[in-house]
Amino acid sequence: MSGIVAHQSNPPLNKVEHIFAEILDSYSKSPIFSTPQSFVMASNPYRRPIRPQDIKALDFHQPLSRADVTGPSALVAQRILLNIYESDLIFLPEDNFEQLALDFRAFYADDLKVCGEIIRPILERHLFAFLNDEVDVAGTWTFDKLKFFCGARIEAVRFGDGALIGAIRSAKDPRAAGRLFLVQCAGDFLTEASAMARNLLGNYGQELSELFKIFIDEYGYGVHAAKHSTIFETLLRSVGMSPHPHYYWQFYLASSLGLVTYFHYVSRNHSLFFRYLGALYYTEATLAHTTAKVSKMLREVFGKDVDTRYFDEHHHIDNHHGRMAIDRIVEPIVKRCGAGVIPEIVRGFEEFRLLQEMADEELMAQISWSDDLDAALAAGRMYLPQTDGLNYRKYSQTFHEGAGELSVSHSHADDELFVVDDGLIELVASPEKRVVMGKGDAIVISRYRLHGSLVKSETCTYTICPLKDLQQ
Amino acid sequence: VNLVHFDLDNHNWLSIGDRDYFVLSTMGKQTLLPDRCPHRGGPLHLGTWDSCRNGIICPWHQSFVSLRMLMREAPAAVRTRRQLTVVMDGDAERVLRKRCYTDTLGTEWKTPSGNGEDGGPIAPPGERTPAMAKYGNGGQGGRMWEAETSVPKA
Repeated sequence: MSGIVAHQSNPPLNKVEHIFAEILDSYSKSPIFSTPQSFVMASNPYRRPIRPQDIKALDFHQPLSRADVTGPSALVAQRILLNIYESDLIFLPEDNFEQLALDFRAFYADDLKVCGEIIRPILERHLFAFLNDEVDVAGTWTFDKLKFFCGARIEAVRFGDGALIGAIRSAKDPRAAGRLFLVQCAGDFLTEASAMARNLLGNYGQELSELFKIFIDEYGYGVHAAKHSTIFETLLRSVGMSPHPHYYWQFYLASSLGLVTYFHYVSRNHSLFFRYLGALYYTEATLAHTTAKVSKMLREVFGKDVDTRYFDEHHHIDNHHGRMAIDRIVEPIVKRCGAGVIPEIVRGFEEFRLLQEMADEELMAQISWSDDLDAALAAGRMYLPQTDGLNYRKYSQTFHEGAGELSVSHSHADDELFVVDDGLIELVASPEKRVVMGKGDAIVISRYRLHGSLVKSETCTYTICPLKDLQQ
Repeated sequence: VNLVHFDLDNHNWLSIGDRDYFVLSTMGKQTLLPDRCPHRGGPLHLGTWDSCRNGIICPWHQSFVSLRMLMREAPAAVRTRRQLTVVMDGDAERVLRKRCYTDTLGTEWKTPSGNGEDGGPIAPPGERTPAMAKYGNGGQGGRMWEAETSVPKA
């Protein structure tokens, strides 16, 4: 029976929750989701660690609140959900397939697929139900009102201050911040428009063909060098990054994953098709404006050698796509289906706008923290005198790990004090931002900030303690 | 077409031309609804919420008006967090009023502070106020918020 009860401190589970817990347990035990030996996943698109050891302490049955959708439960749920969705997509490694054949079969195995499908709706509710509270669309709408409302939102993006871009520019290490931004993009752009493909089958007349035109632009009309994901790979190489899908899996933030999974969510369940159209319109229309700013920022940060064609191409083509989405898809679909579908379209537009805003905020917070680990270390030192106290002994937890042991990236619900008791350990906050800590070193890991660790000595002992408990 | 943006923490009333709309808070959601009973034009913001039938009982003649029916007359609007954006036709004069009644109908009837600028003290039952003069008192007691904000064109 082990593995059925979610957590000792949680209330008893009902029958559905029992079934969910059992199936989630089976799903998460697949070896492809287990702890790897490295923070990056070299040319193996099937290995996607999800920290199964954390799952039993999480309650996926409760919808997350707005404040928690960037927290530890969201991160784990987003990782699992993306794995479920992407088992519908084809990934092949660049080379070495024979060595990865077992992983290939495991990733696409029927039993894993079935388990994923059973747990998917509960994870979707856990992650996206908060949008029901965040966004309401009411009243009597016409297409003109939809166009006017959305147009005003798009103009706000066009003339917005670009806070994220400013945060990258002003970071102490703008290149590391720029690469962390590209990592977040990679989760989406290297499989670009895959969710869109879910909406291309069936029959809904001329509008389907119009969506197909946007799709073939994204896919480079069958010319591989022109495919958007290909030119994004070129951009990654030009700044010294890996172009392999999900190479940086462990560095995706929960809200960045949410931008990808939302599109799958509204595309996998076709009753949400009208929301998909709204989200499509938002992203196509706003990318035309944001991509120009991103291109400029990348050239400033990385110099002339950076290949910005991906963003330049979108600045050009998304001017067309924004127009095509509203004039050739949304308007005819409203004519076909009636004004009653407009609130759903507006809702998808507004929901994705909100998710994008949250993703920008979370990335800025991660950049800010990882950009100044010295400050976090200094904060840690401040608390060291309190580690002799009763609260520290009462509320802290000590870990003993061996050489090369890796803690897959994760986050905590509270600010935590991390103290090395013995040995050496590397704390990792982004692909480039890491610090090696020895005996007596301490650091404050801020709430919700993504981090992992790797033992660098024969053995290592470290202790973590929530600051709120330490300060009681 | 024009937009009116307002913060639900500060406003719960919108007049567009000669039509008045109020914000109803039910089940954690805020909805902008016409403040006119389809029976004789009673002020629905002074009514009582009927949670069994999901509608409002008008204070004038106790007519029941379903939320579904009112939603058909509601202006196109999007609420994102505490920001409401109303999409309206034409250039009619728009006036936002600061919070002038409790959003949750049928419970207490009060103004949030009483600092004069925000509307002053709760009117005692039966006292007529300028707003009541417009609507009649309906036996509820209460007072409209006087502070108004003309809305610039979007």
